[in-house]
Amino acid sequence: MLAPDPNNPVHPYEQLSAYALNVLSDVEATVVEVHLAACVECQEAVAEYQATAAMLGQSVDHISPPPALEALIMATIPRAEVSERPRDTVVRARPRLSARLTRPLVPVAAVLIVAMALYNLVGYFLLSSQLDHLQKETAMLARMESMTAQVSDMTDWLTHLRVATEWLGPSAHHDVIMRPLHPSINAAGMLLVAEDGRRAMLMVNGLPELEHPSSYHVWLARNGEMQWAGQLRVDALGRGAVTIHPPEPVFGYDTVRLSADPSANMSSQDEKTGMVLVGQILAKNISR
Amino acid sequence: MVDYQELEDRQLISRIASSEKDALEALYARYSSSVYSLAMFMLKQESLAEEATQDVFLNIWLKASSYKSDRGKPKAWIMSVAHHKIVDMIRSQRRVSAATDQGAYDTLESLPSSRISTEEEVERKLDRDRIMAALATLPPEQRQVILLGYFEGYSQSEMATALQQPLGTVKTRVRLAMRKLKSALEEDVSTRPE
Repeated sequence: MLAPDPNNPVHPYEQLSAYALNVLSDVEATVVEVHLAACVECQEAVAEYQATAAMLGQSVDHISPPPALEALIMATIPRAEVSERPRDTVVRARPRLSARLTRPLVPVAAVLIVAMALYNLVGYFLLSSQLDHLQKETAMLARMESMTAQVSDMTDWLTHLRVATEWLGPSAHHDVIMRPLHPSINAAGMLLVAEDGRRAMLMVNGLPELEHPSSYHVWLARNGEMQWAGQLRVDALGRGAVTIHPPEPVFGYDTVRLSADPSANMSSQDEKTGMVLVGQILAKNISR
Repeated sequence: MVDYQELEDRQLISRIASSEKDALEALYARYSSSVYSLAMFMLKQESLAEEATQDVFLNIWLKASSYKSDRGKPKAWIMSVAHHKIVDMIRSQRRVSAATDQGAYDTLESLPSSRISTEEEVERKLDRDRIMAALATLPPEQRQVILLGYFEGYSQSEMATALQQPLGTVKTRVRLAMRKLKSALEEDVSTRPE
């Protein structure tokens, strides 16, 4: 049984096994990951459950992948990062040709014919080789471009997680779960509020990506009055995060809301207010 | 001269983080079969399984520096990377692929045998027997959520919908099932003859 950590009292014990089994929703998994980054006890528990899950994965009957797959994977790895290998000695045709050309007994005309033939032959092979190489390079570059975009999205997301982790480390924090206003949308959000209430990070998941320049907006509401608190963009995976610095501590507000630009024409937003997600800033969050 | 085949998994991952391609080739030789087999079992199409395997090892190449040895064994980390990728593909396909036949779970042996060594095959058979025995100790409803969750890529809320059970019930089943499975496997290891 895990011992409570006085510096990090809110352990998601009940979700660790589900996290290792990969059955949590994206939002739940993100919350667990943020906690894991600062909690050694939970890291160890997850590692044990992941070992169990890995055994499930290895219980299926084994088959070998096609032999060509390895070469394909290795060819996709960026060329600049490939480790150096000893190069085989290459015997080239050109020195032999030069040697031939120097033979005094060979008639000049014959040498020229042979040279021309060889030149064409070598040229043909070089061109074919280069064409083939270029085709492979093009395919690889297209794939790398796609991967770079994905890595960029992940990096942005991880940067936000890292900031959140700093807040969730030794000091207490306050979180507000945000739920959709419209049943047709399968999205959620979480507002992580720093101890003094002057900084907060909103992370959302499951929202549709809006076409530029449309975006989402964060609002803090009190007694019906709305205070704009920030702007949020969502990536192609439906994830987004933004840090907000409200004019007053967050605890002085009743709710946090997320709206979409009217130009976005989202069917899942409230018709009158344009709101998509809402979360109650409850008293228990303040006094925790 | 480094003999990569002699290095431990952790050392290989460390060298992959330093962009040593030979280390990735050695790790591929050890785990490509496990990753590809799981992908074939879950995705049921060779082309998808190949794509998943390719992405898994590219991810390992890109993310090797994020692996921390104090957060679990390399095998568990690699299989976790693989499972996440495969589940992502399943979910992005919106479950177009045919549902796994329940009968396949009875044996988990629906796939053809591999061209691996007899020694490896025996070891894997033992592992498979162990996991099957551990799964057999679970009540049917707990076994069901493990199989749906791990091999079909269902989230807990999707399972709740599919099984027409409250989400809380599904969460409890997952938690209890994983706890029992872990205990059963640990017990099996501790009582196993040397």
